[in-house]
Order: sequence, then structure tokens, then C-alpha cells
Amino acid sequence: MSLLLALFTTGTLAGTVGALLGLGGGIFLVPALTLVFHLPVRLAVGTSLVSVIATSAGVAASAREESGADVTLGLRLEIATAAGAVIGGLVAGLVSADWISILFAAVVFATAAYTLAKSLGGSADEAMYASDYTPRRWVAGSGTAGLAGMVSGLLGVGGGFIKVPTMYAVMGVPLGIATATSNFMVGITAAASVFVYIGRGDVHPFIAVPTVAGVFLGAVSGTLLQSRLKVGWLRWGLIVLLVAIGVQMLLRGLAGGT
Amino acid sequence: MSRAHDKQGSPEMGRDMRRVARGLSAFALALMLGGFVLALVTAPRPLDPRAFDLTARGQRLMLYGLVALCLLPAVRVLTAGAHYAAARRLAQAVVALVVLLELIVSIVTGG
Repeated sequence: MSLLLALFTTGTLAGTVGALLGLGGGIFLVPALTLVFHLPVRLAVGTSLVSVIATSAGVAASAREESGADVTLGLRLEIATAAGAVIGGLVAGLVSADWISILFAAVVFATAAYTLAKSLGGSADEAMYASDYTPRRWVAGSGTAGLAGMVSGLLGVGGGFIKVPTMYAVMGVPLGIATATSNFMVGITAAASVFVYIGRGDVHPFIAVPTVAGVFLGAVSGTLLQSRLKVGWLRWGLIVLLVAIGVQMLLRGLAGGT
Repeated sequence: MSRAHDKQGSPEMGRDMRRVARGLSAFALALMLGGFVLALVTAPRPLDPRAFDLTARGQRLMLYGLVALCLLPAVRVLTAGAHYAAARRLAQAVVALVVLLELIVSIVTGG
């Protein structure tokens, strides 16, 4: 019983921080489940994917205002992303758990760099949500979105740190709209690969349900808190935490036997 | 309709989508948590979190809840830009599918 309560608490924390900072809870959940609860990494990834869907559902259900997502752009990119996610989910069943840990560490470092760039980038302005734009370079954008999907399916994270810069820098989509569109896509991408994990037996309901319930609760409260809290200081703490998590996951992968 | 709404969907559509998301999330969570409590009460002791028995109703309900939650993004995709009535019908179809599945499984397994 204490294990189930600990999973619920961990999920709540991951969901709250994820929603506050605009990251999926998966980036915290996978390391927590593997490093603290000593669960196999594929089981952690499967649980994380369900949690990513719960976060997306929680945010979608509790958001008060129009998110600003470009639904058409999101759905077009999602064709490549969902395909990548299914491939990622299948590949996860073939590569060793140590490699998954090492790749996860690389993604954690990339997320830390992305969060740092966002912190230094300043606050939102009108140009971030400008409607006068036309997405361009669809081939490059779709290719990178497919890669983001593969990372999501392989590692149980949202992949926003790849999709947002791609939409913004490659496709010319305003940053605010790119972020909202990426958030809209996250749950769909995770849903594409989660059935691979369910089919492979890498989602255990007794572990997933308390974690997912916690993540859902955390995502809803995080979304409601977002407008009331200043998250700038939290971002800096998170960057330090992410680097520490990345080092731990890297050491775990290099040591072998995960 | 402004260009922004043309690209992003109208605020009404956004509200409709949220209503459907709320309803289906609530259904999935109720199934998951209801099944979880039932499974906790009926599971043999000591509890092994990795053991899973599909013939136990509580554990089955948990799985339905998880799958219903995982279907929510698909409902959002299929109803993007659609009217509320269409989105609501699709969400109701998911609920009906789960109820029907449970009925069939209950009859087959006799429990």
C-alpha cells in the first residue's frame, strides 16, 4: 500500500512541475520510477506514456482560454510524429535497457538546454501569437517531427523540446503558437505508441493507475497554478535537477545491468 | 471568421473540445480508480503490483480506464474542427464500447 501511495505522490509532483513548466511529466517520471522505485526502464517508459496522455487530457480539460494551437498544422505534423512514435515503441522492445537509459540521459540534457534557452528568451509578447504566418519547409518539419515522435515512443517523453524549436526556427511558426501546437500534439503522439507498450505487457495497471491518477491531479493543479505563480525561479532549480537526473541516468546506463 | 480562427478553430470549438475532454477523462478516471479500489479489496495478499489477472473485474476495469484514457487523444483528433454533437457522439461511442466489452467478458468468464 505504501508503494502505491508513493507512486501517487510521485505522479502528482511530476504532473504539477510538468504542467507548471510546460514540460511533460515523463522527463521526471521515468528517472523517478527507475532510480527510486527500481522498476525496469521499459515499464517506466510505458507508465510514463500513459501519464503523458493523462497530462494532456488534464490540461485540455482544465485550460480556461483558447490555447492558440494551430490544429491544422498539428494534425499534419502528427502524421509523421505518430508514425515515428510507433517505430520508437517497437525499437524500444529491441534495444537494451542500458541504451534506453543512455539515450534518456541525452534527452534530459537536451531538455535542460531547451529550458535554459526558454528562461533566457524573456516573456511572451504579441509576436509570439501573431496569426499572420504561413508554415514553410514542410519536408524538413515533418522529418524532424517524425524524429520527435520516435524519441517520444522510445523514451516516454513528450518531445516538445524538438517540435517547438523546429516549428519556430525551421517552419516559421510564432513561438507561442508552436508551443501550444506542440502541447496539443503530445497526447496524440503518446497514444500512438502506448498501445505497443500495452501489447508488450510494459504497462502494469497496478503501477500505472496510481501514478497516472497522481499525474492527472498534478497536471490540473499545475495548470490552475500556472497563472498565479512566477515560474522563473522554478525553471533554474529545474535545470539543476535535470542535469543531476541526466548524470544519474547516464551512469546507470554505462554501469549496465538495468 | 478571422485568419487566426481559420487556423486555430473558433473559441466555441475549443470549448466544445474541452467539454468532451472533460467528460471522457472523468469516465476514464472513474473506471481506473473504481477498478483500482475494487482490485485492492479483492486481490490476494500480499499484493504483487506486477501481477495482473484479467479475470478479476477490478483489474479489468483498471485496464479499460487506461485504454479509455489512451483513446482520448484519438477522439480529439477525430473531432478537431467538428461540432459538439459529433464530438459528444464519438465520446459516447467509446463509453458504449467499454460497457459492451465488459458485458461480453463478464458473460464469457462468468464473473
